[in-house]
Amino acid sequence: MRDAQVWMLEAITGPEEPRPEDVAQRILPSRTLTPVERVEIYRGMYPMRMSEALGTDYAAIVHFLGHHAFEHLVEDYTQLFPSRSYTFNRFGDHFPEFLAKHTKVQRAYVELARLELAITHVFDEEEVPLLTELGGLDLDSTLPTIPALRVLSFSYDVDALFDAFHAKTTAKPKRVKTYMVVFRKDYAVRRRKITQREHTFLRALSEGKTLGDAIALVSPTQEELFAWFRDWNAAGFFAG
Amino acid sequence: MKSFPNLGIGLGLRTPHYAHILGTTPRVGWFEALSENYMDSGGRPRFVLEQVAERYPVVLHGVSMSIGGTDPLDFDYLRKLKALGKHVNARWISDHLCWTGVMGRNTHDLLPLPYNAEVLRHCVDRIRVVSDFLETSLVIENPSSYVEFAESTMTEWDFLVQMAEEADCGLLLDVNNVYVSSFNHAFDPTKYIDAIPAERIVQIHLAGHTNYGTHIIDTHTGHIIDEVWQLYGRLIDRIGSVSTMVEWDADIPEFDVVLAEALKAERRAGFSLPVEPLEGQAEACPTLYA
Repeated sequence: MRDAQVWMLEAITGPEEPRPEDVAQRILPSRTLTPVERVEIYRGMYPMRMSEALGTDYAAIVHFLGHHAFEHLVEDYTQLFPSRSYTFNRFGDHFPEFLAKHTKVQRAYVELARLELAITHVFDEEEVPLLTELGGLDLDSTLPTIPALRVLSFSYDVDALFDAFHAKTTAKPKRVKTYMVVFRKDYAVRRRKITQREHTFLRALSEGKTLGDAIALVSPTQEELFAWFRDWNAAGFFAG
Repeated sequence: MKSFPNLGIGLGLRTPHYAHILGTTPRVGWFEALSENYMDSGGRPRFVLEQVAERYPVVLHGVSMSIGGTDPLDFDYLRKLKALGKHVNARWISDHLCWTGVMGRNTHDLLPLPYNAEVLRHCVDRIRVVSDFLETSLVIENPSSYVEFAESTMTEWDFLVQMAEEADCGLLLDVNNVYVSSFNHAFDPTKYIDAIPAERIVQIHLAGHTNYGTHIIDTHTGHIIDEVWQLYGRLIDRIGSVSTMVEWDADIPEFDVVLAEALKAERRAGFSLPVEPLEGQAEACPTLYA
């Protein structure tokens, strides 16, 4: 039974088509289809299913590279990183790494894929109670961010690329250092550009560093610090 | 086997309909949620399911249990499934008579099994383990398939009946799947429909499909065809009304289009749906994990 399943898995998902004589030993013909044609139904649906799943998570990459190129990438990706989970949610976790290491896709689009991966993670993360009171903090306090938040940096303006995708327009990648936070509020995933100093500070907090350590990294003014916490707490960045 | 309530006519809980369902609380008996879409999500899908479960009975329908698979059962998956079932007061939990992958790889397809004594024993054993773990009788759906195996020694319906008896599980009889497989494998679908014992049928699925001339693919798109309605009618005439749900998963139309399809089943089966809100409806029938 296991041998048959191993054979069928390879027949459906392998890079090479199964040998007709092998198929004929295991699969019966129908009134209208040969054994090979019957297996081909499953073999044809497999890449379509993978492409559909990955295309949902990486819709902006599909937009910029085009469906045809994307499908080829998915075929190669699926051979290297086949789904090993009961859920499709994490199937695309290696896609940015795959684009960077195994393809000639422009660096800007690799970074755009990193942004889209962060968005899918944030979409699924656990919902937790928010911090309601900022009082009582001192330099030794830690201020954990919500699970549904990612602090990111890029070499290209991927935010502009993502906007162009949403607007269904084209955009040329601009090489400019970009800092962003992706977070979920009221069950909607949001993006926000931040400064390098905000990035350094917020990233330190998200990594569990104390308030004192985070302050030491960027030496913010009191007004700056006050403004950051007012905005970030209103946006629901911190877990209660 | 545990007894399950007759919930009337249900619909699949699908993303494009979230806002409509929460905003209008439509007249539907219950919703079927795809387990894997909610097990690992703490975001909007989970929130919506919780809201729906407060207003309607919910059942969980999975695609990844791989009950016919030869890899070990995934108890991490089963733990999460059980926890979700408890969280939303699922009325029952179902999955398919199929395997989804092997050697740790998941094709995310419902792959068919040969029907013979070895496979029967394997499936029965695994269904019993899962039912014990979930503390309920698992409900198993007949698949649609596009191949037949040389090593099969019995019909799918004989396999299904024996499996249900020996594993003491419920059956989710997908009438469209029966039709699809009957076309692809050239058997008489009425023999299949007539062979399934009434006391094992917990739920019925109805759906559209895509006919390519040489074969039919179970695409869950479009309206249910007359031949499938006739099979449904034949089944209902024999066994009486059973919880029935319409699946529509590709090119999903407006909610009211899917609901109209479900109302055809309502009329055919003689169900009477709640006319006005569903105050208390979610609590009105027994749950798995009371």
